[in-house]
Amino acid sequence: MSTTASSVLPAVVKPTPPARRRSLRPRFAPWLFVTPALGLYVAFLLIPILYAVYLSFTELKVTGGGAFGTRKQVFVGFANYISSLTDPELLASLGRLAHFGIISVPLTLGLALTFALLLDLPRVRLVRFSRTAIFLPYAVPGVIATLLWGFLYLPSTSPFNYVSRALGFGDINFLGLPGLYGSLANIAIWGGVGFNMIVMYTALRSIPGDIHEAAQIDGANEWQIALRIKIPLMSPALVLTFLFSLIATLQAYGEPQTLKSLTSTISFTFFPLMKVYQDAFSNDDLAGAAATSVVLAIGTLAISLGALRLLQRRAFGEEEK
Amino acid sequence: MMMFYRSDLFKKYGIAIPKTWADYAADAKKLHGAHPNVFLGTLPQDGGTFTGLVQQAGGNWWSTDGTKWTVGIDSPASTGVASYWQQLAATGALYTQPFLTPEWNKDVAAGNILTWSAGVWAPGVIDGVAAGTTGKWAAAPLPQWTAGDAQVGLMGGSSVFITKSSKHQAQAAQFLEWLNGSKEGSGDLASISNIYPASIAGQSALATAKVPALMSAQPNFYTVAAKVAANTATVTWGPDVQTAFAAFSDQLQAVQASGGSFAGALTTVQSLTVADMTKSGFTVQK
Repeated sequence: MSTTASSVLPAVVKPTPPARRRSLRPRFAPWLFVTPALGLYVAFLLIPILYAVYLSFTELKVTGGGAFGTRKQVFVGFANYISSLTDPELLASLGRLAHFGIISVPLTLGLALTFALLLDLPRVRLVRFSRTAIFLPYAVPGVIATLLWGFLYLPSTSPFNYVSRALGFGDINFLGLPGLYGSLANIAIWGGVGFNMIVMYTALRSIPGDIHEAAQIDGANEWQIALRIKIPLMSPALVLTFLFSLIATLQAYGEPQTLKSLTSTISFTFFPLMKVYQDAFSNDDLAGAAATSVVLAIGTLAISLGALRLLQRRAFGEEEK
Repeated sequence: MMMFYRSDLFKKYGIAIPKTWADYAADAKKLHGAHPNVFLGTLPQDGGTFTGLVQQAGGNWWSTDGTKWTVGIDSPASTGVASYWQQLAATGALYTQPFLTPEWNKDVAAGNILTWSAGVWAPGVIDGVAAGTTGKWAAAPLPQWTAGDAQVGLMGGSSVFITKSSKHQAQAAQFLEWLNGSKEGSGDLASISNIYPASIAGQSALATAKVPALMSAQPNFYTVAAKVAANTATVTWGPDVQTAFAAFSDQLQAVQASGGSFAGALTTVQSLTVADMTKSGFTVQK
């Protein structure tokens, strides 16, 4: 038999038993590969979340009368949620967070977009150095970055104040209101631009070069290409980074908590997550903190879904067609 | 609580140890007026310092009769102390950064803050932030509201207890007695942990012990401390001290930014503390 014939015949003849085995293997292998990640997810994310939700419906109440009773866990229904939602301090902290977010989110995304577009220009130099340099701040852990900037803000150690004093303008008040919001936002922007820029730059790189060349042939300059072609084509990446920034802002905790040791302007409940921490570990009200964090999580989910729905048609609509 | 002061700088600026809070205020204003970068002391902005001063004035933030709690955060003694410090701070004669912040540490090390009113454990802390000032500090009794009084309050403190489930309760009690009341035990507490023993036997046992390095200019430091400790006010702590202290810091900061009165801040702290205690299920007397 010739090799071609033998290679053709078995291919036609080789039917059911191996096919059954072949269709079983794909069903188990993916699950096996996912099991470690799934296990970690269940153990460290799902179970704690469910436990926190369970805790939020309970309360530790003093029983036994007298001035020094022992505390027992009792089921209180939605009482924690009501007191959390009607707490004026939570609303105040959300207001401060909004003040911080209004500065940090647009600036982070704007700078990231600008850098990504600049790096995508045809004849730009020092691309790899710039990419690394812009991305490097993201690699600095949050607490260290905050301490770093904190000492750049402190009146006695700040080089900016040194220069401003030498020029006769006195001290710049980085750590008092209202400059504090800008100072906090600056730390977030400094750390966040790198990551967002990389996401946007990757999206830009995936735009086919023909479109770029066609636009240049049509006589568009780089400005018009950026505004009319690049930005619309990378809108999924823009939506993604916007959502990430939104969620990260809602969870801002490290910067104000670390900066708190350097300035008395930051209260214990400056941002919502600081209030959750305060309730849980300082006020010994774990159940109330759990309720507040569930409220914040639901709020974050609602805002993210709402923003996604709003932007979906604009960003993803063209692809779905 | 005692007043720790820079004996060398007191001599340099010609300040006598203030015996009353009125003297303290006068000295602070005079010193700051003559030397704008130097301050006699710091404005208390934390619950620990403030409650110690309130106890000295005869007030207590919490008290109980065994079944009910009474919260006295906005009692006359407490608001009186607050008004004193607010008036003094308004003249600009007090250092306004909270203590143990980087700025405060730097100014203590540089000799721009001359006193710190704190517990007997203070020398270890000062040593940690201003190591170059060893041998330049001394301790004096805290100024009094009325000349001739001797009462002081507590700043911070620690307690010892044995759990019900312990299998060696008698032995644990023996150990705690030794730790707080014997010469070796209290000596170790003082020299290694910077803790001043509450037991009178422990305090007198320290009379012959070596004083902390920071206080080397005052060899009878422990004798002075024991005399001050003999007049400690009776103190009761409530079930939510952390909550009250955090509220105090936040409210004081808010009031300083908005220009309100410290007494008003205390009223807010009072309502927050009472609400927290009621929520936990304690009975609070109105």
